[in-house]
Amino acid sequence: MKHDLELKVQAWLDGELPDHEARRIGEWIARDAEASALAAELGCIRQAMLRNETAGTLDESREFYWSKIERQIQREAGIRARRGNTLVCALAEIFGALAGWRAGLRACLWLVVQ
Amino acid sequence: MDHDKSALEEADLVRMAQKGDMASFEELVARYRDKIYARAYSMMRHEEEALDLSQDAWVKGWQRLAQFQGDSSFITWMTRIVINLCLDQLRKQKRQRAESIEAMEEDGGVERRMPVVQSQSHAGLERVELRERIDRALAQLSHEHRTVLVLHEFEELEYKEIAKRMKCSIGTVMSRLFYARRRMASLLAGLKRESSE
Repeated sequence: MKHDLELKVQAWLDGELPDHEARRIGEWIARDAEASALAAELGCIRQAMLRNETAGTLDESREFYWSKIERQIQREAGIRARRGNTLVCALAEIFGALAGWRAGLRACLWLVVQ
Repeated sequence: MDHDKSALEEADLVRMAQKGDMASFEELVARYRDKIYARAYSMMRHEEEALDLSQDAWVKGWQRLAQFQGDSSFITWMTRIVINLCLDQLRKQKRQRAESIEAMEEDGGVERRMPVVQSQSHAGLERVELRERIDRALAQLSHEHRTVLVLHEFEELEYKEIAKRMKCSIGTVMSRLFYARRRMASLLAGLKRESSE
């Protein structure tokens, strides 16, 4: 079977085909033994996996697990705050320099005019 | 630490956490930490990595809490965060690998040529046993094949959504899903044979 047809069988099974195509592919699967066997195999795996995920559980205690999260939240909040402060300082320096430059320019102009 | 929050509804805890109440957020972490860890583990298959990524997801969750509008449940929203972190990590690892085994498996050549497994290899198995077998079979898949299966079968995402998250085309998702299922079919059949011998 061509690969694109295999993918059509799968898409049909997953309900990913538009209605008219789903009908056409469904009819073909019903007629074709190979397509029907493939659909059965894919469907079987799909069914087996559905709601059969192994439930993972953490060995760590609630407190220990949370402590690392809390520390990281606080550390990153600190970094953000420091970044914010650095930005404010940088802006203040820029404005300060601009203000000084303008004052200097004004003084030069005054001297020229005089 | 405030443990009196255990009786509160999820929506109340989320609301309080959004206002900056860390104790409420800690209660949410306690309720869902296993689920978030399980999703990270199913994608990474590495306990320490899954643990770190699950904790990173909670940190991100706290930082983005203001963006949570309640369109989905809180756990669905958190699951999306951990999935995205895992996908980023897998992409990083893939870039770091000079020769990727996954790349060799990508075309699924072997799985395509495999005969269709006729019998229902999992029929008659106890639920616990079936889960264990699925888990063992999943561990043998490549990251790409496992991820697409996890997102489709466990997260029940559509092809389009998986393609968006995995940053690939819908065609690639379909192909990977197909090969992943066929490989699962052969692995589960193999496990069945092993156990009957």
